[in-house]
Amino acid sequence: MAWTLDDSRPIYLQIEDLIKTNIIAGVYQPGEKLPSVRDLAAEAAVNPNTMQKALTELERSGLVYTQRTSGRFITEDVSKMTELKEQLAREQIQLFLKNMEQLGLTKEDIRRLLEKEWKEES
Amino acid sequence: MLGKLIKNEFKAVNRLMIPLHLGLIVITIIGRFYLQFTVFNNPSQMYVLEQNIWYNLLNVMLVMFYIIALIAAALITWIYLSILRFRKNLFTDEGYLMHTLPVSASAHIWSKLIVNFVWQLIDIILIILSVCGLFLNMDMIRALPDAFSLLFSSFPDAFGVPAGVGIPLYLLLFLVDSISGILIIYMCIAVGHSFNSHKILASVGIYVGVWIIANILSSVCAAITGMVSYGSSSLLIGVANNLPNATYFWLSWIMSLLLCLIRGVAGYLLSNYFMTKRLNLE
Amino acid sequence: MEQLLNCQALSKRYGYKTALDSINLSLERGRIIGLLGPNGSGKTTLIKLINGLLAPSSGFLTINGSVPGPETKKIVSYLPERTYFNSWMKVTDILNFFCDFYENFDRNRASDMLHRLGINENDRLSSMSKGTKEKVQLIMVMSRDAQLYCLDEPIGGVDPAARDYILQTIITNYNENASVLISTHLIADIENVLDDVIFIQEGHIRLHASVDEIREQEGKSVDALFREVFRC
Repeated sequence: MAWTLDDSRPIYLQIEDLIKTNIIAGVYQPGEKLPSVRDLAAEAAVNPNTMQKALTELERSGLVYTQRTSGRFITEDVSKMTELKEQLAREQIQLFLKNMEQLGLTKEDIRRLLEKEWKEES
Repeated sequence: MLGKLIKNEFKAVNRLMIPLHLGLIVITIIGRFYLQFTVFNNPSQMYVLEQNIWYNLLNVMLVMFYIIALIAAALITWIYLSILRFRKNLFTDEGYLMHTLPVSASAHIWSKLIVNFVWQLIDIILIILSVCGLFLNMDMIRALPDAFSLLFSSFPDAFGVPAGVGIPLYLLLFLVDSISGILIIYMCIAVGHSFNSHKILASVGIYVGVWIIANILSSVCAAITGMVSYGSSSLLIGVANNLPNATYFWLSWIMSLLLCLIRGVAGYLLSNYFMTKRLNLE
Repeated sequence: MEQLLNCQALSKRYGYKTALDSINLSLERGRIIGLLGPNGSGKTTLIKLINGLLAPSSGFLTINGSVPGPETKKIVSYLPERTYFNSWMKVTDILNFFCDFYENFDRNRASDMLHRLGINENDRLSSMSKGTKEKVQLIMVMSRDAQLYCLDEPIGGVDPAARDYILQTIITNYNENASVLISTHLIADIENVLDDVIFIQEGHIRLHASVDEIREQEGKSVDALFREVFRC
């Protein structure tokens, strides 16, 4: 996977988001063991402390858990994943709605345009 | 750590010193064969005169070449070990490695001094052996006992003490003088390179200054020993005009030794101080 | 535990020129720290003072509580901005040299890194390109289990592939008891591997902060901030 990082936000937050996206997209399977902090840091070409911080944040949200001796694993709790997926989806939808609002579209307009789009796709 | 420094120092300087001295040995062997088959095999005293002028000219040139080679070997050894190696290894880019090793400045000085001394000793011994190896023949070896007994019998007249005492003492003095001479050069390099610019010029300037001071001091000491041994008149007529006596020998020997020791200790302490507290690598 | 590096009113003057002007600085363990500043700002002077290659004009610095000397040199690993090996040396000579003098030198780690770069241990330095020589030197420096690594301009003038290799080497050799101090003026290249940055200008420390703090508070990269602070 590509670790594309931008300049504006703290790197650990960007890493956290990238890993979240990967979990949802299935790059990391539920229950899968994550590479070590050092390897992940090397892969992303970031500081190991930064990677550590990102993983700690992921642990706090319950998406990743640590087994004392054997390392870090992706959660097997499917409800956590659904929750995350919905949360990320909601963020995208809110962003989308905000943009539509700026274009001056009403809710009716948006619904109509969406249904038109889906029809054309199928 | 000193042992490791010495080991690595030998490894570095042997790259030049071994070929240089092997060259000296090879020249000696070739020269010996040449002489053996020309001059020594013709017992006639007239041999040299019988040859034509070009042949003799060639021989003179060969002898000159040999002498130049001897001097070059000695000079290269001295300049390389005492000046170039010390400066390059400790005060140029290589110094970045040497001075970040976990060893003290004194260990650096000792390792350089010991390796330098060993090679200079080898150099002197090889030069003496080379000259002997080139020119010694049976006639000379047969004449040696007489020459030595003459040396020993005339030594007291010239120096005021028996040769058995004088020669070892002078050798010891020579030894201490060589070591303190090396330390003084190290000191000049170490002090000169603590300057922010013109480091080499500063080193040379300091050396000249030290040389002048040392000469003034030794003249003063010579005058004092002369006066003590021969009375104040020696200042006017000079020491050389007096008959040598034991007092003069001992006084001047001890004075010289003291001066050498002072130079050596000062050289060591200042080198150590400037390499520890005043290091200023560019 | 004792602070790794501590500078108190540390100054260095060369004649009338002041290279460092009474700086106070302390560094913790387990950090990768960028020492950032334009050319001639005092970066190299600070690093040389840490390594005892220069003596302070006034003030003092301690590493692990002691002033620079043989004891501190055991735990500081230094990559200068020049090559300091003799060109007649083979790679094995250099390995032996480091084994001789540094108790914390890990020969296997060095051999492993050399092997992965395809560098033969019997090669002479004189047969290597400048870039390869620099990599050999970096490998030697990073193969020590030191507590403070000082890398002076490790990425100046190397190609992007070499730069990535250097950064990877720094990341993979990281350990939480040691800190890495990297001086450079090319910030964008190394920003992602840094924990903290120190901005240094004309012998003064302008800023000492963590990269996250800067991004959170300023909303911009360290590189962008640097360009603002040091705008000509």
